[in-house]
Amino acid sequence: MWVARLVTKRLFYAAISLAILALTVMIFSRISGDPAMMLLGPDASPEDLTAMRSKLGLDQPFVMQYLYYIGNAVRGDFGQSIYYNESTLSLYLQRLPASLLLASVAFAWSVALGVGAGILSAVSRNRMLNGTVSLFALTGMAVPPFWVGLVLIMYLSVDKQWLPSSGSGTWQHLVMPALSLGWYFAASNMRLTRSAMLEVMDSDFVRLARLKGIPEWRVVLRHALPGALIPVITLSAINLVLMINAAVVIETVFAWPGVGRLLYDGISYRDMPLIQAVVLISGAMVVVVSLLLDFLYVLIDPRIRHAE
Amino acid sequence: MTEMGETNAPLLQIEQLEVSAGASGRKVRILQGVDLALRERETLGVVGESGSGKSTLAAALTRLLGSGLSITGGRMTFAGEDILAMSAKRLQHLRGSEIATILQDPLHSLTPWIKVGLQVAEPAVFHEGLSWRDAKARAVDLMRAAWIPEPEQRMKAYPHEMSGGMRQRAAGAIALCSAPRLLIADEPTTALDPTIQLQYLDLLRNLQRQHGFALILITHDLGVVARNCQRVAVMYGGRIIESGPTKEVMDNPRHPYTRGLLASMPRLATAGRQQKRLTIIPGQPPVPGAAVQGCAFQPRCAERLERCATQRPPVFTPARGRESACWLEENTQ
Amino acid sequence: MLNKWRASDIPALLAAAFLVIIILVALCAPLLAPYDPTFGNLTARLLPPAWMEGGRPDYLLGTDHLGRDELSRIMYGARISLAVGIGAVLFAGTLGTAVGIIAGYSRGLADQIIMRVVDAWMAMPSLIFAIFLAAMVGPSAGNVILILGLVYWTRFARLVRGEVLSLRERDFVKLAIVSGASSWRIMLRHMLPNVVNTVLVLGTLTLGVMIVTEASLSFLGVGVPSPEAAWGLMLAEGKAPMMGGKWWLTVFPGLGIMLTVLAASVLGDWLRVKLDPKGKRR
Repeated sequence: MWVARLVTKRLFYAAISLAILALTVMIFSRISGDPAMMLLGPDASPEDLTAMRSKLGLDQPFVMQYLYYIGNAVRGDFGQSIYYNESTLSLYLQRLPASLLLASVAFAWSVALGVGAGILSAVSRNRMLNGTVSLFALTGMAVPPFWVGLVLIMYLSVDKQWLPSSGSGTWQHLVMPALSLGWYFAASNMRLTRSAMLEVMDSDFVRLARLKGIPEWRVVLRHALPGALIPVITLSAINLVLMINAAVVIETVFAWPGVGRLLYDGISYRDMPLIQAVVLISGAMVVVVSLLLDFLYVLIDPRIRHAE
Repeated sequence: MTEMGETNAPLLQIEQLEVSAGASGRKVRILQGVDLALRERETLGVVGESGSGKSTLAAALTRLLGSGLSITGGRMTFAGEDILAMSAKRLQHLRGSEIATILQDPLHSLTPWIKVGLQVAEPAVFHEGLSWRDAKARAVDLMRAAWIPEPEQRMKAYPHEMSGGMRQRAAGAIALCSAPRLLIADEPTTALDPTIQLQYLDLLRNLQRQHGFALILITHDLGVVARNCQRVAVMYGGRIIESGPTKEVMDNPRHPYTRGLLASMPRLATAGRQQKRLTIIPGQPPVPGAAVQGCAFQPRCAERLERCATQRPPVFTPARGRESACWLEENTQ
Repeated sequence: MLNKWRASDIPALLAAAFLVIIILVALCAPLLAPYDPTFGNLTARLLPPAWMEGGRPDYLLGTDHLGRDELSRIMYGARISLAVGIGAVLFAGTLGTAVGIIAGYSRGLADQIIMRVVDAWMAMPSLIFAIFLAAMVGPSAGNVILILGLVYWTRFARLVRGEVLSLRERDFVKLAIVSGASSWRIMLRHMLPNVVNTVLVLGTLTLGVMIVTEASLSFLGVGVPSPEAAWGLMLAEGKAPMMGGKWWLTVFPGLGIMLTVLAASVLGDWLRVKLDPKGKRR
């Protein structure tokens, strides 16, 4: 059955991605220094160090270490945070909801504004509108999200004192982080929607719909728009992943208590196990989410099934 | 101007139509000096190569030209009404319910994500205010009349689930939804298999007999014209260079281009017997809109005169109902 | 190719001009900058730009919390951003192109394996991964170049491989194979010159991404370290003063980043249109 074949194939590739991810994390973690020394401090005795190394399994051959590492990960043991003295996994899960909230709000508004403005700009002849939209789309994609955040803080927090500049808890805390995080993606959606719409509006079936005397609103919404949305949905799937990246910096700027901030804290406190765990879990999440989106895609578009 | 001498006033009358491209200042003429008259229930064939302007002419009739193109001169009347003076709302009603169009490639001219039945029903909903339910019922009948088997099932299909021929028949059903008085078919059979082509043209003829619309059949295929059209207009370089009743034009072509076209057609009757090779017209057709001095066909014309290179020939009327834009006709006036 | 200039080329022209200026500024920073970017005058701390009240004409764009001249720091920041950005693009581009050509040309098993690795690599979120690597190896400009190259080379590999796959079917390549040319020769002489255009476009477009990523890394403290004048770092250091109303410490570096990235994007888009043999519609 094609389904089983497709599923296994994708799962296999995902597994390889995860394996490589784990391998890379493990290899690079070793570079930063001896884990035993980091745990025990620089004035530990050689015997203690050897004992700790043995305990951590560092005297084993590399392959064995790798397998242990993966084995632990699969069981949910990603190590213990030095600073917080808690399981890194539980720390991660504690912070995850905040990140998801931020990401979903940012995603929602960026899609709504981006697609909406893109459609309007493709359909309308208004020069001002088109110019503004194009400008926003272009610059919005060139601006680093954290700068947007800083500028927003400057105006809305420092200058006008309307919104709090950091922390979380009320909807006011959510506004600026979500705005900054979504900025780039709103611009990207706007650009893509506009060009996709322009292309679709040029096609023969739109022409025929007009020749049939169908009112323009229906031509745009029912005949043209669905075609333009296909690439937008594809892009949104990719953007979702990119958003996770950008969220790290945004959370840092606004002290938003999410996973990204956790990573930053780990870096500040030189908490190696925490850093490794966050990277590994985030990376794994991304791989899994991409996989699910892939499956979703195949369900939606029947043509892909035949291409496999 | 041709004198018809018939009692019906023409349904469609076009005088000196000019279509240009480009912003003002750099006007490039795509169509110029086009005169056309079409009576009710009449079938007119418009023949020409790619780039001759025939599709632009079709688009101009309902003022749905592509971006950058606009009507820059002439008059068009439909059933006595000035098309160029119509408001946007009037035009919207004109399109689809009074003048219907069938495009060339049904795979790309039907919207891929809307079920075929809904696309057939749409005109009735938006032109006559029918409910979707009633419109869909009418759509079934229309599809049946267009020789689509099992129309109730086909209604729910998407365009890519139908064969090319069936899609084009659906396009015909769409066109007839609101009983148009004029149907413009822009190369309707070019994208179809040859066996289906004949079938489709039969269908169009049939529908025309039943519903009584006038038909403009745009094609590059003289054979199609010969079988189906009472009158023919030959286009070249954005102008109509010859027109008249089909039989007369095909038996006795007056313009060198038409003569060349007919000579380059393989004839079944003489196939295998003739020793001569098919003649071709040497050279290339002009790029649409290129400014031309004199006659547009002159560089490729075997019978050209000196003045053809500098003066563009007007349309002469060598016989009643026959027109030809060639200096050779000057003496016959 | 360059014989007809049209109005639509103007943005790209401006972008190119801007980039040239920035590059010149970056190269000549030691000559142009009025002050040492890392050594501050503690008596001239947090001065606003010269045209504002309290500003001084010799500190044109103001000073930061350590009394370092903002203008000089911006210039040196350009130096760092461009050096790192271009270095990273070169690294990623070279590595990615090489892998892409090999994978695309070899096809078969080698291609499959390489592409699996590339896919797996691309599945990892780039910034997070970059942050991780940077945190592990410690902050320095050289490290950042390496890291950026390691994170982004896959883009080039994917693109080049696609090109090579279709190139391979072209007649001139088949001819070369049949006449016994060695694989290396074919890859170098036939494949490489033909993918240069695509790589150039991608490289220009990626420059913007590299600059932003480097700024992000520096912002988080794992990129180019203090007391260097990296734009990202300036933003991080400028945040606290900004809360106290000293806006110039974040606005100017941010503008620098934005304009440079914008210029690179505009130029990259223009190149893509110009160099595309099929003349894709805009």
